[in-house]
Amino acid sequence: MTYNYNIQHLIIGIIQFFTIILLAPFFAGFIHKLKQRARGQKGINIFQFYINFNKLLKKEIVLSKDATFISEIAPYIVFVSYLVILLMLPAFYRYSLLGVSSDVILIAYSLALATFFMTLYAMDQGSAFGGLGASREWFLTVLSEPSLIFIFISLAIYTKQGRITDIFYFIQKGAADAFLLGVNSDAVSIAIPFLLFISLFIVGISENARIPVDNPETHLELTMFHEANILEASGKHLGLFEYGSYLKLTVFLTVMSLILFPYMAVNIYQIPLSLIVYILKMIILCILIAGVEIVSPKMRVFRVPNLLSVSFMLSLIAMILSIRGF
Amino acid sequence: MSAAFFTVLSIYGFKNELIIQSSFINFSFKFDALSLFFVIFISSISIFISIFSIKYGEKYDKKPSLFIYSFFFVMSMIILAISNDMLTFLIFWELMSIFSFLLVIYEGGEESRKAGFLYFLMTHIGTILITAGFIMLYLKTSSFSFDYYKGAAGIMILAAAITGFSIKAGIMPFHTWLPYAHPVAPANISAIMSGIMVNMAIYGILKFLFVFSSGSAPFLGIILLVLGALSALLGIMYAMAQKDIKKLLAFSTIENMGIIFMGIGISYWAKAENFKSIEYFAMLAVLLHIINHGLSKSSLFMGSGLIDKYTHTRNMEKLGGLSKKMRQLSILFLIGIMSISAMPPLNGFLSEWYLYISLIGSVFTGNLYMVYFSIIAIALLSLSGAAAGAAFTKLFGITFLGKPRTVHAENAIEPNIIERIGIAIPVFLCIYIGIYPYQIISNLNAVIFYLTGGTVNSNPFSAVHIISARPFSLYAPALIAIALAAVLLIVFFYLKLFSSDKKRIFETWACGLDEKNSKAQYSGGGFSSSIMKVFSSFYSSVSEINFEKDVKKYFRSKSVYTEEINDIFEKYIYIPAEKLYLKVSEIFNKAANSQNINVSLGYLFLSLIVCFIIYIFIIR
Amino acid sequence: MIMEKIAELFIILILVSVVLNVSSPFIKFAIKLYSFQSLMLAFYILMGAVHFNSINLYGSFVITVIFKVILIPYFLFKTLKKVKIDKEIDMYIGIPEAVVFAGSLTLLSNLIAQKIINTGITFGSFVFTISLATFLIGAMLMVTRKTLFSQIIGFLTIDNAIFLAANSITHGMPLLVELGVLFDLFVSILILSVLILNLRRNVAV
Repeated sequence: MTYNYNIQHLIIGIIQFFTIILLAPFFAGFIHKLKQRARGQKGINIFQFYINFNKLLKKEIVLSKDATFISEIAPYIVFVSYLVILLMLPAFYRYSLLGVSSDVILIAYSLALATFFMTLYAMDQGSAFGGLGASREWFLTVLSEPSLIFIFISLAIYTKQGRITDIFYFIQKGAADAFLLGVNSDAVSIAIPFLLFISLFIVGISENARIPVDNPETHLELTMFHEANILEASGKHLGLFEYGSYLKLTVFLTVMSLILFPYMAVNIYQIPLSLIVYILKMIILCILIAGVEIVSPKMRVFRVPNLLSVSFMLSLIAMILSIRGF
Repeated sequence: MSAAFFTVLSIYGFKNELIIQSSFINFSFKFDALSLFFVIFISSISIFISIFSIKYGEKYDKKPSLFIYSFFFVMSMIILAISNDMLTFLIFWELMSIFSFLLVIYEGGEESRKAGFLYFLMTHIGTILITAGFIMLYLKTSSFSFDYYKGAAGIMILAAAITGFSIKAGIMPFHTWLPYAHPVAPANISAIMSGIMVNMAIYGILKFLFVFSSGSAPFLGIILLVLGALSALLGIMYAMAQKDIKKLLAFSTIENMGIIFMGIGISYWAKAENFKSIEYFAMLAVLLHIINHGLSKSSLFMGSGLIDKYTHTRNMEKLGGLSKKMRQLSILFLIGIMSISAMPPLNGFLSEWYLYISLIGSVFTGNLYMVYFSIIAIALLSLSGAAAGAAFTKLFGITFLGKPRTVHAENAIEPNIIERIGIAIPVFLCIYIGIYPYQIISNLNAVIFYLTGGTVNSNPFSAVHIISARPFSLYAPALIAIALAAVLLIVFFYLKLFSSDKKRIFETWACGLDEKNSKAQYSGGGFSSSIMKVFSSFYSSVSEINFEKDVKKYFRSKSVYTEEINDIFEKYIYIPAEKLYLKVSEIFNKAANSQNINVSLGYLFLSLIVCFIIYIFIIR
Repeated sequence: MIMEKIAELFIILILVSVVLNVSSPFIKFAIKLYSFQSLMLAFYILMGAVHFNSINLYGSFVITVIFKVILIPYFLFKTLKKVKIDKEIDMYIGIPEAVVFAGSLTLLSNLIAQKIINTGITFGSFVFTISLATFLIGAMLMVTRKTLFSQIIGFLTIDNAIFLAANSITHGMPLLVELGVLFDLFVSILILSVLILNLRRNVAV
């Protein structure tokens, strides 16, 4: 598909980008609130994470005396690499700002870039917790990277497109053709998105430090994955890391929402509807994640490979299904 | 070493074809696109290493044979790349092996002698196989010149030569020499060996597969793909387990050679099955990865040499906190590491991206076998990509970050400016190629055209077409880099304006304890242990904890933890083979060493007759 | 058309349930999964029945639901309660390796299916692939697990796979044959349960 950028695409792309960024803490806060209500607590304000971020920006930074230049740059790079992924991702409009170069493998490796710098940050201060967090984070990344890349590549093979904007537009168009008009129905499948959704859900839970794998609320060293990495961060650095984790959650949720029900606006008049649909989908996914977090106990670390291997296997089956057509 | 510079000058002196005739042997040389590519590659990287060695080499001044050897080493590689007949090729191949052997054993000592012997043995097995391949070619064409070999090599010749070359490249079943030989050499020599010499094997393979090969044996490509994928995965998995910095880098060389082999395999398969664009993209991935690996690996080896020089240890469990003492070196090292572990937007990711694209393309072709092998290769490649990230995070984090673990690390100082410049140039090139690769790609098109007969589109914003006429995907590194920089600036200035800039320097939090013991940090072994536990079937590791007996359970004065990580190939193939060889040779020894002179003469006579029989029945 | 897609989903769920079975050491969960798997198989048969409007297939659906979804799991649960094993403790290969191995078996079965399949089968080579993969993974389950329960589950999985393959190639077997097969299966499960109980009583497994 060709990319002819005009001013309309650019403006809507920018609006889309900022909308997702602004919504990200809301989704995280919503999940948190749901979990707390389900446990019978009163719960935080849904907009608490905005307030937290604002508060963190106003606080001073406490740097370790062993810290090096990594501690200064890592929070920015982690945050920025998630932002660049969001620049590529379509959410409710067909085009995104960097849509022309939104290759799926690039997205997977950009996530690895963020992990790389976050773990370097963790090891920077010479704290034992940091090393532990870095070790565990890479443990998860090594195990979940093959499934993530398999998910993306099976999407690419299924649609014969390599860019994430094209992929979801293709699915959307195919689904609309097949189910509304009843033509060209061989190109769409129910099983492939279903498998990819479950697989991505598992990967998303493990990458975003959610409960069966990790607990985002804990500060107990035996259970920490993500938190151990940013234990030394404070002030705006902590703010950037926290916001970065909301953005990462949003990236995964957005891709899941697009697999679940691809509806993106093709022209400017469909945007209000597609925005509403997007937020609805995201809220449904948030409820799903909160539900999983409430009902499942936290796993032992060495039980996690079992879960991730299932996700790998599901994406492999999806890949086999998607090469069937060729 | 700086003499390599003159080599380059002399290279540009003569133009196209050159034949030196002497009474009994003709040396003939020829420039084509491939050899020119390799000559430029070798000479430029050896120039960087020469600049680095101006200062670094000072500690070897007492024993200057290093510089003579390394001059001949680099020279022989350059001449190897331009030689145009089989004798020249073999002579300079052998010279390259011998000089590198001399450099491996340069520092002396038990360890380097052992490594040198292993290297000598393996490399000569390789040379025998290559020679066998060439002899078969000679028998087929009855000519020494490469000009007559085009399209002459059958499957046997290719198999022999490729096995020989892959011993030199350190591909997985034949890799055993590499992790021993690379670390014991001086750092600049390791940089040459790892950055350049292993690529000469790739040169040989490219020459055989794409120039000499007679045509279609697609399964050969699949075999190369599988071997490459296995080496990529196992290489990086073993790298993760290492404590020695240079050993880690040596295993990472195996990984990168594996990636290059994967590209060659796909390209050859696509050539045999006539999928043009996949062939070109895979070849582009191969050539780019040769450059990228050469640049980043040589800079990393130089960096490790500096660490060794200023701290007197290569064991990362004894280092730590070097980033404070060697600030600029650590920045250079960080970029080198990001490049080699394929982090966008640097160059390592670019070549890996092209490899992924050609793998996806070969899935698209729907070829009955290749589809499955490419799926497996994608899985192994992605796993090894993530594992590379882990291994190099370990390398950088344990060595450069945190607190100094021993006195060695505390006394480090910033290296000399010339040494830093020697590292900075390849690192800068890494960034340049990563962000703006179009110049390089359009230059590489000549090589791709020479090897495959086609070119790839080097236009920055035209999407990649893999199999059909439809554009498939696009990775525009310049765009991504601009976006990264722009967003970074926006975030930075936003925070500058809307957040407090107060900063306080304080101790690292250690649960409120006053923890002064820097050994309480996470260790390198601890970092990789959880990954190693999951992939334990790759390692045959033995670890045990010895306690002193009859002491109280929780207050032991001393406990010893030993861990030993064995290479599975070494343990299950090489060591049994060695034992078998020893047993067989003992039997022969008993039989041959009889006191009777007639028996000895009889053996000689017998071997002569066997030679004749071989000549009559097998060769004719 | 849309029926076909949904049928595809059911078949995929059969394979997914076997994979989950490989990935979990819990026996109760495995029996539940078997029940679920049989239900999916039954739905698949039902869709075939609606599609071809064949009375044989309707009958087959009812029998499958009664025997495989309800009766066999019920008896297994009953036995499980008596022997009080809840978890497979040690296996010959670890779970992640087993799952990856199952993945390669799936790849292999797709290759085999593409090699030997001819055209003219109801839903293409795809059903055959899945049934072959299920068959192989079931066999692997029997080989790698140590507890008798897991082996029974593997055996039942293999039976389901063969059932699926048969249903995909023919338009349903004669009802009598199916009934006979199912009774055999049922009786064998009963015998195995008795065996397990006896073993438990005498040897303390």
